[in-house]
Amino acid sequence: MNPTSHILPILLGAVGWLAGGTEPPPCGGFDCEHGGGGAEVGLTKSEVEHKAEEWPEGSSEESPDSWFEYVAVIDCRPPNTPTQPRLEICGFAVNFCEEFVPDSSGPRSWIYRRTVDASGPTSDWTEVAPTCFTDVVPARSGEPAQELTEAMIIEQFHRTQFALPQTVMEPPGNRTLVNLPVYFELAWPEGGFEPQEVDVTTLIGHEVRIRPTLVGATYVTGDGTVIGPTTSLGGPYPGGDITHEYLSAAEVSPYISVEYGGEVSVDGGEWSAIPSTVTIDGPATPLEVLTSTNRLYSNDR
Amino acid sequence: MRRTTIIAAAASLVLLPACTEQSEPSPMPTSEDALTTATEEPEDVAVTSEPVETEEETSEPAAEGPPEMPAEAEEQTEAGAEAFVLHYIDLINFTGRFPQVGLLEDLSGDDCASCLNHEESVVYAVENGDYLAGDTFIPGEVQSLFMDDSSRISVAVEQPGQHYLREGEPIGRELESEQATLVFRTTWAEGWQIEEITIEQ
Repeated sequence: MNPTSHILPILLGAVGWLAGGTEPPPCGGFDCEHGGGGAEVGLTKSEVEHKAEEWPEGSSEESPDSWFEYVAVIDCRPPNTPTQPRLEICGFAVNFCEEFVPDSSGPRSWIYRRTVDASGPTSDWTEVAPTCFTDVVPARSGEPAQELTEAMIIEQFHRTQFALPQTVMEPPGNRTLVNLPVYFELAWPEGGFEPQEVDVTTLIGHEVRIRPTLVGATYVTGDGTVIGPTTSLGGPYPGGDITHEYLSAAEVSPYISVEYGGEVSVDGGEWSAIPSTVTIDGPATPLEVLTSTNRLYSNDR
Repeated sequence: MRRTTIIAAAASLVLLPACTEQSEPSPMPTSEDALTTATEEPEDVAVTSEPVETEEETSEPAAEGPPEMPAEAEEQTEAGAEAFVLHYIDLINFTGRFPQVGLLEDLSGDDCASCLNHEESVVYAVENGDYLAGDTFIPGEVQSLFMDDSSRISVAVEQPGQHYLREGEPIGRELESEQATLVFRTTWAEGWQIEEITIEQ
């Protein structure tokens, strides 16, 4: 709702009275709030934080027989609900807080609360109030919201299930010849998060999106040679730029090692670089390096 | 003493009923006897005046005293903050019906824009003779958030539709029938004060 939507009738009334040459009437009733304090934009930061000090009747911090659980449901309802509070982060929720509560974290959320005891929830989720200070909504009575730190984000980054870089070689068949160029190519599997694939998790009530980036790939040929690090993903014959010639017969196990960087976005905010990297070795692919022997035969043997 | 006695005796003689026609004195009236003669109600009663109009739409406001702040509203408690806010609403209602400057001013901080609006509305009403016949706000459910030195009190409010009156007659201004939640933020400084009032609709 536009918080200033009721100003226009007041102005029109004032114009009408002005036309009659008399003092314009002041506001009356709700118009005094519309033209005064304006629309309620939600709980302040301290009001949200105070929720952690509230306990159900008959319970207390000293005797926590029951407690309140809280959830901040992004104000894009539907589809968001207390059980799926961040299904969507809509423009309204983000823009409302940027415009009306610029010093808040946003996005605009509705705080829901239910009563819980040792046996589980004893009430349904009920609306409490809206707020733009979503990041300080406590999880439950007695537990103020923790601040999401960079260390938490880095730790989560390290827990990401990164995609294991697969080694694809030509000639195919896991066999090659000495002195024959082998073309290497890095392939991403179905499983795991490859560069630009976003991993979404929740940390202490915050939606954390982590997007891996490729810092560099290192091609380990298995005979002591290392190619890279490079951002090249190689390629097949004849255009691939990652090639290697084995000089002697051997059974080798080449693999590719990838150094991942990352970017993070919290609660739908801007992407920013994660100050850490992770190196992931792909599986080794057995390769048999053979020699070829040329023999000449005469027709009369 | 003797002179007083003579005068009293003379007075009693004057007051005695005449005994010329009756041989015995009249019986003393009992408590059940009427001291005045009751007359039968006439069957035809001419209506000489209309009954006093009780419809609030057109009656002139009667002088009433403003509501007093309840003792609970002076307590630094959650219930105290709620009582204070409801008292403020009572004063808005009172000054809407019986405009009187100076009742709201001491209950709010200098930066309360909504409060200033209500106060200016009262000043205008006093200067122009405008008033309402009914309450401005009808409060309903109250929800509170109490933080010792401050509170957030939200009150579901109904605003009945009605015209402003002047000398008993409706004028062009009116309040629309609406419902909203008024959110009062108060602070404690040797008593509650309203910092601001915002509205949820």
